Amino acid sequence: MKDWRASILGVFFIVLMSSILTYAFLGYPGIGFVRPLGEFYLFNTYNFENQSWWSASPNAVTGLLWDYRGYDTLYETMVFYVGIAAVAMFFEGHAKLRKTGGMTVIVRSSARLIFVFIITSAFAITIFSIKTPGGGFQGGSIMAIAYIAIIVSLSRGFLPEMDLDVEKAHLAKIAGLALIAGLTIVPVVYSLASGSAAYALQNLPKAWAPFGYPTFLGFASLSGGLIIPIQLGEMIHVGMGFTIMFLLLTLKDKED
Amino acid sequence: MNPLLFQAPILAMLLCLLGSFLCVLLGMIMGRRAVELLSGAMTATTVLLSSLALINVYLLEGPYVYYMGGWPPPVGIPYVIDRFSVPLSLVVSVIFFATMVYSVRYLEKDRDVKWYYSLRFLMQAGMYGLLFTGDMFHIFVMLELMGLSAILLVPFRKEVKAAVEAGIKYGIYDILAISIYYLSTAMIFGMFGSMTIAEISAKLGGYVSPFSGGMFADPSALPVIVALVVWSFAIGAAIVPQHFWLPDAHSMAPSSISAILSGLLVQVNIAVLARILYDGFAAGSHPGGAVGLQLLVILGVASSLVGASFMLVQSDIKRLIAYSTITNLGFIAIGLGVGTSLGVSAAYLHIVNHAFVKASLFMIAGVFIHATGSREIGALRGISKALPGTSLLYTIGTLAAIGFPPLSMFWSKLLLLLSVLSAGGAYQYLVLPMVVSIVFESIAQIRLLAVIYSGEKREVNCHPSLPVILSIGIMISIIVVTGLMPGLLLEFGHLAADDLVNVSGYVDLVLKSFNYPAP
Amino acid sequence: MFSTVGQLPYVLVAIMASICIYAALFKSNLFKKMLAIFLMTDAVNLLFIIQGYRLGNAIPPIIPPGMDPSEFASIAVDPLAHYFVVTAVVIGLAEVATLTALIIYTYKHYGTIETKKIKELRG
Repeated sequence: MKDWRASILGVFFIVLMSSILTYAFLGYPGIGFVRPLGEFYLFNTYNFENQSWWSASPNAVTGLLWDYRGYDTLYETMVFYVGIAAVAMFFEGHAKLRKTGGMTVIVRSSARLIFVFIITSAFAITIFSIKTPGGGFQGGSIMAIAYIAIIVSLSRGFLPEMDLDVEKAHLAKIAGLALIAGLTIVPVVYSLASGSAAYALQNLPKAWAPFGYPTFLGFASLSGGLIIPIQLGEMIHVGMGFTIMFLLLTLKDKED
Repeated sequence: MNPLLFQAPILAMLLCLLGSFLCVLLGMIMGRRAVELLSGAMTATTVLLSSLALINVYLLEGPYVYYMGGWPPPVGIPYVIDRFSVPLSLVVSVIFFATMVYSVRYLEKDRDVKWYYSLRFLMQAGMYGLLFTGDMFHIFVMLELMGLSAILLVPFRKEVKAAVEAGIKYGIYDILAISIYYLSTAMIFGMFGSMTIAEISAKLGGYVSPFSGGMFADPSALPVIVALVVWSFAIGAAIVPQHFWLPDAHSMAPSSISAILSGLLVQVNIAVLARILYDGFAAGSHPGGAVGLQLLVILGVASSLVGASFMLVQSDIKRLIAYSTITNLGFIAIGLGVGTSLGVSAAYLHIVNHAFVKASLFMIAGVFIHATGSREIGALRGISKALPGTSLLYTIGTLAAIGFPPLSMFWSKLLLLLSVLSAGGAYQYLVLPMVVSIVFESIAQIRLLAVIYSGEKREVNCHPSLPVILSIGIMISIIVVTGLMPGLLLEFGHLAADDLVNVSGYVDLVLKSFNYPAP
Repeated sequence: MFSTVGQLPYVLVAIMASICIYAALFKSNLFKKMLAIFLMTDAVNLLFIIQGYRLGNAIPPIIPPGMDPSEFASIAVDPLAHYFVVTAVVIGLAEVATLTALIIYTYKHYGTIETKKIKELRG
């Protein structure tokens, strides 16, 4: 009897809510309409003729991520940091990583080989994210897979062989964050020192703010000013963050 | 403009960012003393920087917009440093500093304080971001930052069963609220093609942006979006009927965190809602936005009545203070919803005064709980003879909370009643429920005072240490001093309300105050 | 009702979001509540993608070498919508990590994740 009433209430709630939302969408343009602000980013992100609004990144999404709306992404990274802190705060006390031997030389060296391959692809996805799909978060996820694959296929005890434990992962993560925060603060420090206008997380020089990171680093295939170094910082942060999460959660699982 | 003054509010925010991971680093390599020293120094610096920003905005240069990454809106994220946001950011800095001093001794017996200080910094950064930002999507990111760190700090003492329960309850509802807000940002993006708050109100008035064009959907659907935004912030600000998580979360958190949650977090939520409603949806002039104000008034009346009547039946000191927060948030919602300039300035003053009062009450409640080892009101009998100084501070705080003249909250409550009376129409009858809830609240608070002053002298577990008394003293003296200078207080409220309610001034400041080459 | 067929995907979003809000509010299992909130975020992500998509032979928002920017701006999909989704996905992960940690601890303390059986606090 009670269940029956609850489901009637549920159906009523869902029908009401979805019809209200559908009503709100009645006047919206149909699928396939790109708003002018999106076209503005597309037009300007890698516009060689008029560089006053460009981000020097052929990938418009990457340009948005760390240039046009970089301050959003900076704090999105910090939200991810809170997620890691959640797992670390609740499960850190239980983490005791013990070295387990017993793997043959073949297993060890092949694991190392695969590890190197995965890490290389993580770096590639991060660095070339200005020209191809990808980015710091994506690269970091792949980097974490290198470690998680080792945890899953060999054992957690193999990680000390790779010179990694929770403490070191935390330190590496903080190094990544320090890189991101440093690149954010440099324009502000420049502004304080020189007295000219510069804004936090400013990437390229603008007509109204002269500060800028170098766009081309000698060889033409790399561009985007701060985008590549800051993406590397995010990659380390995310990769290490995922590794910490999986390590702590799996350790907890076993000891209970 | 002097670059230090220009960068001051952003520097405070970036310091919090640095502090969040430096705390963990120091905690791992040097131990807790280093963490406490670092976070103390950094919070003190944020107070200094926020005061610089206040001096700059009020006395030197006036309001300005900081273009994040150098991109003007709507291309980038604007930070609007005006007379509405800057005083609130100073309140945030001061309360974070006071609770920082308080935490050092309060958390002496807890392990793992590095995460505590780290998350506190992130919460502070989230609050600055929410107060300053002029971008709808940035509000989403900042709500997540502030909300997730608060959710984790509530069950900081994870061995306590009820604390974890309060944490998960708060977590589910707060994250649901933020998800609903995310839905409304997507709908705003579809309708306006831009996330900048100033552009929304400008486009409702027929403005065509050189970057993002005009409107792309009929504004007849605006009330749905407004209702979604009000709903999400009503959960975050614990307005009835979404208040049930607040008494649990605020009473189960460590007292230093309760002070921040009750004194700042809910108020920041409602301040951001005011910013969105007034400057985004043009609630003063556009009928779609006005729906939000009417909703606020209705929910506010319900909140004040429900909160005040639940205060009468509480037996736990922290729950009593938490229900008082619900009552006062109802008052703030009424003041904002009435829509007149007087109402908004009264609500603004109430936000500021309530922040200090509620933070200090929670901090003293923490001292009492440590001293008696119990949260029951009955256990406080005779504590005034054992801890006379702390009890005196608590008395001043409580008197301020019930609006005893000439303490600070007397003025804002008086102004709220006056604004409701002068609003005319049906709104003037709101004075009745407001007076009823003020009376209920006073009865409950005075009964608590009577318990504290009754009975024989009792034994206590521990006396509060000097830093704890000092941090509470700072807060109480602010309450007394602001209460003695009502003229200055009113001036602040008036200017803040001016910057909030004057939509065209806000739009001009954000969109037109700056010359850049045409796209 | 709708003026074009292209608006029909919005109905999908409306229904999905409503079901998720219902489940998050009224289901008693904490894990189901968490999944509902996460799916709600995905419904909104879908809404962003719908609003940023371009019909016909659309290309991703990465400029091919040598293409004129104005031609690129007229055929590529909206990068802003993609950006919002990328950000929200990362934030959603942080939400899941936080709530999972809390739910595991709730289970440790109470031996259940049904909200009806967890009644230490009165609310």
